[in-house]
Amino acid sequence: MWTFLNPLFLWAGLAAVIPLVLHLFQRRKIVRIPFSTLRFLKLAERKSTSRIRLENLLLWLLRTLLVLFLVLAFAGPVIRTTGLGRWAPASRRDIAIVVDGSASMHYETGFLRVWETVRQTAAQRIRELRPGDRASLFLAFDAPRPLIEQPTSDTELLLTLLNAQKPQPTTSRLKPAFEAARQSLRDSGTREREIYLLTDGQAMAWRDFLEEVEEEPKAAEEAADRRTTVFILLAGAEQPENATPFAASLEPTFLRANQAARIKASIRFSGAARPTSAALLVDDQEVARRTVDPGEGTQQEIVFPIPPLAAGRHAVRIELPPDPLALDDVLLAVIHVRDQLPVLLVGRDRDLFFIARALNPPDTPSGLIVHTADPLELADQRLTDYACLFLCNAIPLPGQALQAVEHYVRNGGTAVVFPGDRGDPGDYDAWTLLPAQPVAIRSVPPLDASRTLRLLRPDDPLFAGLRLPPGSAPTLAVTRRLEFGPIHPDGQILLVMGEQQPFLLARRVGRGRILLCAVPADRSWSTFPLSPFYLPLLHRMALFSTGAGAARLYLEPAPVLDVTDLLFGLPDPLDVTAPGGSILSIRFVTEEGREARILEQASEIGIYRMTSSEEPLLALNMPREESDLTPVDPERLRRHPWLKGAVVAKSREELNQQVTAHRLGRPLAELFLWLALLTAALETLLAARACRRVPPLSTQLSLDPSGRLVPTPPRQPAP
Amino acid sequence: MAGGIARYLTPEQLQRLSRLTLNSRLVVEGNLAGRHRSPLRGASTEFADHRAYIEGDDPRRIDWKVFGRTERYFVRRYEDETNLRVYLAVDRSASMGYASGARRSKYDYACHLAAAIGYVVVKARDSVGLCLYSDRTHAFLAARNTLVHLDNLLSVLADHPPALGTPTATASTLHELAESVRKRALIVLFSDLFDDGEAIHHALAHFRKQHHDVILFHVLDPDEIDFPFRRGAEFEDMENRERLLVDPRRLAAEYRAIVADFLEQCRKSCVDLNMDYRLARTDQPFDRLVQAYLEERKRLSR
Repeated sequence: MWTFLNPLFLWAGLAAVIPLVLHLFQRRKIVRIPFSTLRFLKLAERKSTSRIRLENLLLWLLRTLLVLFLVLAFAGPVIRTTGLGRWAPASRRDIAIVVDGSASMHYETGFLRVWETVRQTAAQRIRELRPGDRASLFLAFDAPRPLIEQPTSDTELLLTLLNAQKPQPTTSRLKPAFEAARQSLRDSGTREREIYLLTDGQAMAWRDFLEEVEEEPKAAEEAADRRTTVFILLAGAEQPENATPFAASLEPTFLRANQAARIKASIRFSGAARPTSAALLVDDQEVARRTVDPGEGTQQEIVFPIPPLAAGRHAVRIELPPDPLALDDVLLAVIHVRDQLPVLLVGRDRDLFFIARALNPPDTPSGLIVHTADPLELADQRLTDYACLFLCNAIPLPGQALQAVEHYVRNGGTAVVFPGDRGDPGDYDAWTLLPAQPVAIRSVPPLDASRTLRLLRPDDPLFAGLRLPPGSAPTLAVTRRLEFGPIHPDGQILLVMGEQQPFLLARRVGRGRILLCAVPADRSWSTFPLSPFYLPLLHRMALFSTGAGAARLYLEPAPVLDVTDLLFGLPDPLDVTAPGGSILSIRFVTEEGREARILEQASEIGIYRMTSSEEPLLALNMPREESDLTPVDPERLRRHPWLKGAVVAKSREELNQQVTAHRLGRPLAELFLWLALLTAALETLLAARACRRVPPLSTQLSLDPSGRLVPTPPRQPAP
Repeated sequence: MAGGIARYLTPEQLQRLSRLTLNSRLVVEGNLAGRHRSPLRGASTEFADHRAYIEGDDPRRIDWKVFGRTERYFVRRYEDETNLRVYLAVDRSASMGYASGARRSKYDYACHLAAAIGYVVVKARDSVGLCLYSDRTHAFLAARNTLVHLDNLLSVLADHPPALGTPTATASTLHELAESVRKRALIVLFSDLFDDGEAIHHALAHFRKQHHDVILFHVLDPDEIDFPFRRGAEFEDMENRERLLVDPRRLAAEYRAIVADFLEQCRKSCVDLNMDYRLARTDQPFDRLVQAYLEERKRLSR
């Protein structure tokens, strides 16, 4: 059905008779010219009458059409796609508004944040409700948060609730919110239904929709609702630019007082990446700055050195210059620097005699706290409390203990395995993480007992800064040794004795590392404990171990945060002060026999400090995946059965136009303007052709001064 | 100088024209001795042939050398030379009154041409006559070889300008002229030939049948050739007052094609009848046209 936005302009349609009137008017004001004879004119007219009539008819038609098209264009015709148009009785309408509340809505486009654009759009939709219309309102986070779950016509309430909201430092998933919105409209009966998805266009929020299309297209098709019209506003920048410190890790993870360390940070870029700089601040003091050149990639690794720090907890910030999304320009972290590192020696007392004294010399502070445990008690130990694990003649281990060790290594721990008389080579078969599988225990003839140790990989971090005592030679007397099978592809030989026999092997497993020595840690097979190499090598193993139980540097917001690892050495109960000043309590819970300390209601971004000492305890950062602002492709969205026929707009104004077009009809003014332009072009062409200039006959006649007319040679037909 | 000649020709033009001659390409019959070939045998120095002596012949014409060889009497005959009689046939139909812009009308232009041709003829002691016609003959003056006669002749032309509504009947009038001029003469026709083409062809052929030499000056205005009008107008036929509303720009192409065909048809008719056809545009200087034509005619007749 047609309707017109400016129906008064239709009166201008009378102008369609203008060409005809002009034609008639021209006839009356004709000029009379006496001419010698009309015989040739009559002949010419007879020849061209039909052509001229056709041209005249076409010209009149085109000129009339041109006027009509212009009139129609200015009258603003719209064609209704649903409903009966402006003049028909208005049908009731239920709308559900879903507003993306994720952290990326803080992105600034020009003078407005995306959130403001989206909020104003939602407010406009609410204010446009007519009497009898209703609306429900949802915020999209990881889980949808209904503000008004059942549609209401109370616009004041809707606006008040909407204006009280602000984006949260979380990610968002639009599909659950969309489902909640659809659910809220299920009782709308015969009312017109509209769902508004107002978001910044970040692809991350649409991942459920996009994945579902690829994985279960049929199921999505069946669940589609054809009665509801979906409007989508992608209010964010079409090519967003953002840089963020995406992740950071500490090396070593267990940091001892006055020990140099480094932080490795990943900088991620969205959109056009430009060189930038990153600064590292420890306790609000800048300690390092690095230039970040992203090159062609979207991610760049940078390393900051950390000067030796005093024992305690230190607040760390990795900062980038401000960009449109300022919320993720800073990565906060808390480093726990310890006085001493805990290590666990597993074995019987006589097996641990040398190693315990080497790691904890009686008169010299080593910085290590040495704990011992019997192999049978290993399963009861909380291995994550230790920086390093030494297994001395502890094999075979009970199955549960073996699993605990492997879990410890996979999660970043270092385990050092020394063989002994208790275990046969077959006892190692249950181990799946060793750098090489022992196949035999070989006796070494006395004449061959003396072996010199040689570094095969001096660049390994284990040997960094390793200094042997002056005058010492790394020579051993070996009576027995483990013989190994093929080296695992991930394994490597760090030390050899003699020419080729492996002495120390290593393999990275998960985030951790496992080391395997060919001789025990005591004197039963070799003189290794008496070697000047023994003590420094063991210390390096302990100090540069990765430490599976190291506290996390930072956390991301969650309804319940497990902060057990962050409270090492702190008393219970403990209160923390949030960045905003509110005081939160850490609760002690036991879940499935496991003790844990949890923090609830922590949603503010920033450093949380212990209330009693003002010492930083934990850092809460915006979810880093939210920093990936890659925009969604609207065409991919439209392929989802739920969103087929959805109206996608990239600005508030465009959405308003589309809503008007949907409710009133599709505007055709532009189409008529194009038609008018086309008609005008055709008219010009036809008129020019009709009145084309023909060269005068005089120029074609060959006339000499005596008046003789030379016949023009007949034209040769074109080849 | 007499008034009629002075009306059409300036002294400079007269001086230039006095050096020119108009010769007939055919034999002509005059009543005076002249420099044009006559079909009769007479007393010139140009030997023609012998004829057997009969009683009454002048014995002085007997060729005694032939008698010596053949012992028979033959008399010598010589080519007769006579003067040229030129008739100027001028069309004074209403269409000849057409003039575009500040140009002179076709009739006026034709009178100038006639004056120039007539002057050249009289200066060569040949005779010139006039036939002024439209749908009938308005004036006919017999050929005479005096400047006074020429002056009178041009005065007649000046006194009979074309009148609006005067139709043309060139073909029938030319037939009449061909019949009325008995002796072989040179007919110089000044007309726009706006008549039936085939009828005109027959009329011209009638001249040839009567052994007349014909020169046709086809007088046209440039606007009649090019039809340069731009704005729509109602054109009125000057001969029959008929009117036609046309958009000239829409008809121009067809009009020019038709006029081109018309000119070609006229030219071809004259070529077929061994006549001289000359297109005289009223924007050309008439004296230059006459001079160029006569020089070319003289060159070709040698």
